[in-house]
Amino acid sequence: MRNLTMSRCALRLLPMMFLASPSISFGGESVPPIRSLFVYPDEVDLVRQDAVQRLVVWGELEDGKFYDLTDHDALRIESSDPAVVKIGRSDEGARPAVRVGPTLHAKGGAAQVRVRLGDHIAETAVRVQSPKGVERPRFVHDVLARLTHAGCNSGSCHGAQHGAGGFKLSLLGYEPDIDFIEIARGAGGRRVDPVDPDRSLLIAKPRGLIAHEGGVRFRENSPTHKALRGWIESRAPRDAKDAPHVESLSVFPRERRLSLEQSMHFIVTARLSDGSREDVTGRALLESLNTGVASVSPSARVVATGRGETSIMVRYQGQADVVRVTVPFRDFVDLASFEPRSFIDEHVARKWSKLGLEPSATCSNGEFIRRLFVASIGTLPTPEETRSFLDDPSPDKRDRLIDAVLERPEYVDYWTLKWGDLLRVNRTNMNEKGMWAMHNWLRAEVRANRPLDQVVSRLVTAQGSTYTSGPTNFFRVAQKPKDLAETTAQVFLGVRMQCAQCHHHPFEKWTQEDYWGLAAYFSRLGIKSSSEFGVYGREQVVYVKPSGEVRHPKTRKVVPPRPLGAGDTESKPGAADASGDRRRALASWLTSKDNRLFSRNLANRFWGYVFGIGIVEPIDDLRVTNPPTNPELLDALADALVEGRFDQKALLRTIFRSRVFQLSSRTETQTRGADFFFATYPTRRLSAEVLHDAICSATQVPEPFSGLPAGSRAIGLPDSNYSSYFLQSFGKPKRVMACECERVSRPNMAQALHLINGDFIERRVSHAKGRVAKLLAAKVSDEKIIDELYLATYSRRPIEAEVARVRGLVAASPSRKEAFEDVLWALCNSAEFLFNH
Amino acid sequence: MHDRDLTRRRDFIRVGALSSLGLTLPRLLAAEEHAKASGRTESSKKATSCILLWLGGGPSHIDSFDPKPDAPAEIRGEFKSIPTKIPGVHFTEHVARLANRIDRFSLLRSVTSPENGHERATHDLLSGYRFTPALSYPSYGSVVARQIEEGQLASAGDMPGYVLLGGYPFAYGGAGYLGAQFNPFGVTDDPNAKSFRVRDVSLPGGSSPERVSRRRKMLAAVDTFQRGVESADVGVMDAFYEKAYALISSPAAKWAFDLENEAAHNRDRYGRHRFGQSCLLARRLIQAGVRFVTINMGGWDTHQNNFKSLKTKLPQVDQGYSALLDDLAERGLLDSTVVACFGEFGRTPKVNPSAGRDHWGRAMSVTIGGGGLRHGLVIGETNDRAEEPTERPITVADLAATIYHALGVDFSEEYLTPQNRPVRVNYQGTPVGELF
Repeated sequence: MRNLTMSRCALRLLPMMFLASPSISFGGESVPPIRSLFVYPDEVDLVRQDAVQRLVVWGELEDGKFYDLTDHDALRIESSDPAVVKIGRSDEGARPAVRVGPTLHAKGGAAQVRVRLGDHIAETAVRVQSPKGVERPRFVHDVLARLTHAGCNSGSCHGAQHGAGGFKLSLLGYEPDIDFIEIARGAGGRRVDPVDPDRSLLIAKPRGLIAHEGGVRFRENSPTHKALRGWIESRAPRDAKDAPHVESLSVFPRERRLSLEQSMHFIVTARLSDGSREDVTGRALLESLNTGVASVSPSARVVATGRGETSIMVRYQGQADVVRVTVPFRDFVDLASFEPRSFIDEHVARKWSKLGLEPSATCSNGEFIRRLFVASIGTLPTPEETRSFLDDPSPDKRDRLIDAVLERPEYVDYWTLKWGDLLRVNRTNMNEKGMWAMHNWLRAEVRANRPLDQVVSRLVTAQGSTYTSGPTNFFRVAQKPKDLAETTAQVFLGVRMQCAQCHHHPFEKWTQEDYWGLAAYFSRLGIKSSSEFGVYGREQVVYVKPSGEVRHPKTRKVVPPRPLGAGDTESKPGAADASGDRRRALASWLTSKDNRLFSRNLANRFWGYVFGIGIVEPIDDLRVTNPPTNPELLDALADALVEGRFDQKALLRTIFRSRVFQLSSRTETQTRGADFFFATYPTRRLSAEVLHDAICSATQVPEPFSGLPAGSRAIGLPDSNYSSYFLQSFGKPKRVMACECERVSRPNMAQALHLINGDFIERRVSHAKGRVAKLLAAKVSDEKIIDELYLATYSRRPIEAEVARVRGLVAASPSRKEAFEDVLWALCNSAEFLFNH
Repeated sequence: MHDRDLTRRRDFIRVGALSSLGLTLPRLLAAEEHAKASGRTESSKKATSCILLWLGGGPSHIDSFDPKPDAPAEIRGEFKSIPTKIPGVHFTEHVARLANRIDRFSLLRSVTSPENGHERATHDLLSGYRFTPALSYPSYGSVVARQIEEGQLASAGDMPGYVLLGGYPFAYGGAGYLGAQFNPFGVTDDPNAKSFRVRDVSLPGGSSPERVSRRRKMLAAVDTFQRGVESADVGVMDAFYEKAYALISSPAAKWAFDLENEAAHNRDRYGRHRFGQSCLLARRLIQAGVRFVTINMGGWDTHQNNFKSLKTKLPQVDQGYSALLDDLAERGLLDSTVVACFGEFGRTPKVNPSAGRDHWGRAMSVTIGGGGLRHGLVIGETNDRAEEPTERPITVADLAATIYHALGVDFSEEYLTPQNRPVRVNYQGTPVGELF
């Protein structure tokens, strides 16, 4: 446990003494005696005269738990040389911090800072660097960062596309050069007034001295006020060209376990390009991703508000990181009875023990067959199939069923549907022939279980006729380089790049260079018409042009192709190879074993398809500030995918065989939130097509689709161009967006009305050739009919009490026909049918 | 386990619920009584409902509410202008009824928008936001539906909060990024048709109320599936089942959708055409508790034969809109119901060679009234050629802010998009102060 909650850094620190352990009172709560005391950071470099380094102090108690003691009243902090290093409070006034002492800064120096609580002592070494030149206020770090922290350049204020009130700043200060001009030169110079800084609009407005729609943003003599005033007094200088920029952020601690209502502090440190480090805690943007679990104050104090797990998003100057906060549901859980079957079970169980969750029991055979069929082939088992599975006594029947189901023809339908959604196969963009070419190509790839890296590679490098080469139609949906970049990033990498088209991604490290660098791979792609199929054949040919570049929208410079996340200094695959096709370089980077974005995206998507909840959720939004609920599991799945040579079926088989997949969805005794950690199988509404087909198969009345052979099913539709009120209201995506969110999976009013009162079910339960009519014609007993109807809908046999209840109502009905129609109607309208569970 | 579940779950499916709901037509009766008792038809309280008459395609402002009788013939067009109740204010001859009722609404002549394409402009005028391919913004009714859901606005009872008559104008008028659960309840059939019925609300042919009740009992008997704390969506589905049952068994809904029980003379007053009967249906829906109704009337894209088309279309609007205002006022509902009428843009002042007018976002006329707004005002003005506002330009965001403000919606509220971007209900709009 200790390893999980402390970083390597912290473990290097050794407590100074082990003396008698007085009992301490903390926040009114009596806590066990301290065993040892720690302070972070263990060494500090103060580089600038105004540098502030916050401290975090905590103790390991006799019970082995860690308590944040930074706020403790009895804490004493001393400097061995107060002239060099003084002890004070952070700018926010709340936290102990060290600052540069009154000694002439130019000399530099060093001191030990000693933290004492009772008899316990911890120490940290502080050095004051002598400055290299004259120190000036910095625009980016002192002005822009403060404005960002005060909310001035948020997307709903001056950072909006057109600014606000005639004052436009770049979103979250991502464009310092533009902001400098706007602030220092804009509004006829009234924004900064070095003669009387407090009359500058930059100060007078947000202080509320002049009418300001955004209200008062900071108070007199607040750190922000002082920083802005200092900069303006120095005649609002521009930063030097080589001024260091932020290269990365780190947080301490990275993760902590807290008990309910416990609090902790963290520190945000920026590493600058000149190698120095700076405590930027008071300037970073902090935000809890789930305030129901933890809240965070602007001074980086976290309070556990509820049980579960969340992350605190930390952003500063284009970089982002997270602090993970775990508030266990219970202190201890006994998982001895859960025997892991695979790495999946091991990783998930580790998470449960950390969170204090117990898994639900193993699901019944009836639940298993229905769930497996739905998750693997989008189809309900027939009563015969269910019966034979339930009656099979062999112990390995679940594994055998998994193997069998993966070879069924519906597997091809279902996963072609999934891929078709992702790739937006539709006749509006591809025209009908192109749509069929793409659809049939995808079917062949799924049927052959083509390794996913190869499928993706074939897609992004496709060329030739859109009629004879299916994958070329990928380039009919998104056509411009930028659209292709967005689609590629979102579909194959789970990265939403849209924001970075116009500005630095506000929740990510992606820059406009990343965005346009990806777009550059597609800049030489051409599409032309062909008359192979006649003048009106509308065939198109995808080909590679000898030239074509993309330009950065702000600098107007040509952006060379570069993979996502590759810095300027790294090599740039994509200088076209002998074929002249930049896309080959893209494909090889994209699908490379080392591209964790690719393997993690695929692993997460398939996990999400099977469980209804991704390890990262939404399943196509993987980013630093949206961390996975179980990073180790995601990495292990990605590894398995790579080691298995991107074999989709093998990945699914591994997931289906896990004990985690086979847990019950019953939640009577389960903890709220347990499904996000897969301690119980998540209950989710059947998707539009699956539910459509389930009603058809339960009632044995198929729905015809115009232009398709009889017996065609909704999961087999090649695109969304089939008029069906049912599919539309249950959220079948139109395939206009590359986002998984296009598929509406939430219930709504029109769905409920259509199920209760629409003719889709009504027509089927009373159909002359439907299941009820057939059962009545076969003249079997009420029990037999009830048994059959339960198997056809719930994939299980009814229990005695259910049979009795239904029989009672059947007997009270005016006719046997109406009675059993009503039974089937009710089964189709019940949650056990409508949901996958 | 199953028996225990049965006793505590899906209570709403309980036997006999259908017949014992005992619902009333709260607003209908209360409001009518109130109006009779007080003899008042105007008050200054906040509106609780809104009817938006959407003229899709872009109605010509010159040929309706902003005539320019002194402009050259190629701008003036074929229609005569007539005086309204307000001295000096003229409409064209084809909206004569409305000219007589200008005391029941106000006219904004200086609404202006930079967008001249149908789709984008429709998005803008129905959401108050400038179109962007990155995000589809919610329409007014969807915001209202969300605020009802979150308890910020009063409940619509058994009725859906937002109803759209006539289908979506392009893909807009819906919930956009708010998510499908806030889409309007759509009525696509023509209320003027003899066979008019509302999909899935009327009982399917052959189903008797007894059978519905038996099925509900059966559902309660078989629906033993656990409702644990985890399966939040099951709870949501239950809630929609409850709403759906409430709606189909609601006397208010049944009454509202059944135009046959409206007095014939009143149906005639609205006009026996789709727009008129849609206005009538909207009034009934508002009475039954619906908070926002959008009526989508298309066909205003008069690039050719502008005058010929408008001779048919304008009188329909004139008749239906006037009847709606009168009827709402007589029932004491006008001061709690905002009624607004506009399309995505105005039309080119200069008549084109096909006797048509083309797209013109720079100037358009919007009428808005009821809901406690000040009436009888003409706000803003266009130049002599009806090309652009000469004073008091009103942006699309201002118009949206006006609607929200009238309905008591806090439009500074932020909602999260699917990408977790916070977006305000309205951005940079200022309600038209003269109206409040």
